[in-house]
Amino acid sequence: MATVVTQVKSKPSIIVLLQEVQERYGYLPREEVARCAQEAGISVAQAYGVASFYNFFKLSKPGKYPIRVCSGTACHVQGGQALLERLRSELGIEPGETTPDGLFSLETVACLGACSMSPAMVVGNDVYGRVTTREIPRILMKYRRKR
Amino acid sequence: MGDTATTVTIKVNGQQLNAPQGANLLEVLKAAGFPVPTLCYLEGLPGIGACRLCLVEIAGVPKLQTACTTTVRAGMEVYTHSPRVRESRRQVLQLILGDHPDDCLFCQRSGDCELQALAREYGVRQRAYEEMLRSFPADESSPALTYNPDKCVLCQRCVRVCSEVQEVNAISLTRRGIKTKVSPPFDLPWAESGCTFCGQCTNVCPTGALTERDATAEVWEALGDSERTVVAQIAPAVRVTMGEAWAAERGLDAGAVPPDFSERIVAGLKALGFHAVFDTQFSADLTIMEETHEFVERLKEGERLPIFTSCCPAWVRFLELYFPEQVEHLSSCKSPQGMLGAVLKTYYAQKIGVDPARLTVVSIMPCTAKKYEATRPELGREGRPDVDIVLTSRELKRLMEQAGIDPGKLAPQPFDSPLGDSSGAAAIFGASGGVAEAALRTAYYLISGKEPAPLEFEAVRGWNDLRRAAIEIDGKTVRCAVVSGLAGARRLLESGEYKEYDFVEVMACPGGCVNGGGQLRPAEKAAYGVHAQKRAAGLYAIDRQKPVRTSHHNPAVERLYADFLGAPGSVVAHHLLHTSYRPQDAYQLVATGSREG
Repeated sequence: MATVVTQVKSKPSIIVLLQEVQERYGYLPREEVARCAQEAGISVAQAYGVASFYNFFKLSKPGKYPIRVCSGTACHVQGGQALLERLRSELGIEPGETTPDGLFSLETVACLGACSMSPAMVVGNDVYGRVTTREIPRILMKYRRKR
Repeated sequence: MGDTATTVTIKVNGQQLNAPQGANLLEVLKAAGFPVPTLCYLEGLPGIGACRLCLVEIAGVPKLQTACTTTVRAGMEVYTHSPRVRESRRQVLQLILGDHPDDCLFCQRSGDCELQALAREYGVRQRAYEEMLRSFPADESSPALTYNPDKCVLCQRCVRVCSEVQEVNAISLTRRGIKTKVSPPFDLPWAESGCTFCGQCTNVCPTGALTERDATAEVWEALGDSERTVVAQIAPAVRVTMGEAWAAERGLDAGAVPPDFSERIVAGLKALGFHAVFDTQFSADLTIMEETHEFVERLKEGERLPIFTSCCPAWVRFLELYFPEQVEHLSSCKSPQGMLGAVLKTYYAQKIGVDPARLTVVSIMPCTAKKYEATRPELGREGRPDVDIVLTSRELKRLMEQAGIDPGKLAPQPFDSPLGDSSGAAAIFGASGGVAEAALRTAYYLISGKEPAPLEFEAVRGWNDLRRAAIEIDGKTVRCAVVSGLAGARRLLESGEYKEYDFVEVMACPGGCVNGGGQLRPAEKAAYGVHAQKRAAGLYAIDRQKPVRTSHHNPAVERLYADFLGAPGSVVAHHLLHTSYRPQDAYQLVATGSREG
């Protein structure tokens, strides 16, 4: 972080500082947000206000297998929302959160570019197409076994 | 804000009006008798145009403008209540109400809510938009205050008081759109955040979103339990706010009631079923005896100077959190609330032959942080708190109303003796500078063996957030600083200026306890100052009327030492009346989300 800070001259912007942190860690660890606030000369509360305002900033550590559910037009029409609902209830987390065991995190993305396979989702690096809600538990189990 | 020296002429609702060029239009309209509604404006701070209710029409400007962000220009023509303006405000209200619950009937602020009052004023009788509640869970983690995001109108008054007035910066607006709410960083529970519980946010919240944590039900439960003996103590600042509110509700001038409304409050509490009512001013005198003893000793030895007063729990927590290394300067004395609690659970319980476990001590404070203080494990014995329930002035009023008791109509009753007898020095504890002055009266006597003449130490009185005084005692100079508001405290500590003093008094709330976070909200929304100054003037009047005006001459305190405590600073006194602190780094706390040790 020291290098980041020296790159930015007087009055570093909190957004720039937070972006650098996210690039490095993949999310915003608390300690780093607190440090960015100090660097930018604002309170931690204000820095958190900024961090929580933008969807871009991730406030929890991504899971070992991040799950990205497509909410693009084609997937939406084909039942992408139902997939998301099922994942929420199976995992017990909301989009943007990570399961307590650190295995999965959940988020929605605008389009995976796999419209022909809608509804689609990505778990870790694996793409799943024409997913039905009934398949969800089996897919999750695969990764739980792998851990 | 432009040149305020030039007076220009403007037209308001067709009437000619003189106003300073560049002045805040909302302030000018209010002073001219055309108040415009607002939910976000705070006197003394710049307008932010967040609530959109102060919209006014200005001739030649196509869109309606928010008065709070508009400055006076020569020749401007303003319409404050034209049909267009009224309709727009109604629309704004309807939008605010769109995600506001309909549970006024069950809300703590019903009858005292600014949003409710505006809905009534603007004839809102039904919803214009389908109700869309946000359904966030309420934060009830803190013993001092609660935050209910569903009732929050996002006016930001709390955030601004916390950051711009107190400079504590514990909270901010977080998230976005329909998910926006006020919260500590990382959504930490308020109890585990950098909040000091000063409660200034609850004083300015226009709705039921941020309130003191109501404990009136606990009082009723204790009063209804025949196994329990329930006693009360009342802080100095409570008596002046209660009298003020009582007069205001009857359209009377504050001068119509005596500043000391305490005997009416005592009568009211006795009518509610309290066994005895004592005065926190008694233990304020006791605090002065212990604290001044400690101060004179430390002054002699040059040890850990300056001494910081420790009566104010929000200040103590502020220091523990933000300046852990300076905690050692705090006096080891408990606050007057804590001291009386300890005396009641030991000396008094023994005297009336009641098992302390069956004695319920209710204290009535101008303060939300006192609720937190009472839960500190240091302020209890055998796992039980010395003070069981803390009510704010607002809850006291509610308690009386729930019983249909009008204290102003009851025959006055004195406090119970001897723990209800106090000096004038104790009365002024409720105003900024009062603790320093009370301590100086006694320190002067302890050091020189003579009474100070005059008794008043005008140099420590006043309204600035930081006041400095050098007091000559017996050829020695005692250097004092008096701080009112946490912003001043931060400045004093960060600059290192505190090292230049022997004695530093800090009250977390601007103006002191008279403006405490649990005080009654004045009907006339005023900046920090006007109502608090009137209340403080009431306390100084009480001081002048007291036959004894120094803590060391309070006969009841002398008797308690003779019967029970021995001498100031004795082993018994130390065991009962002194405490310890828990410095912890707020930065660590917030960054790791967990308490250190």
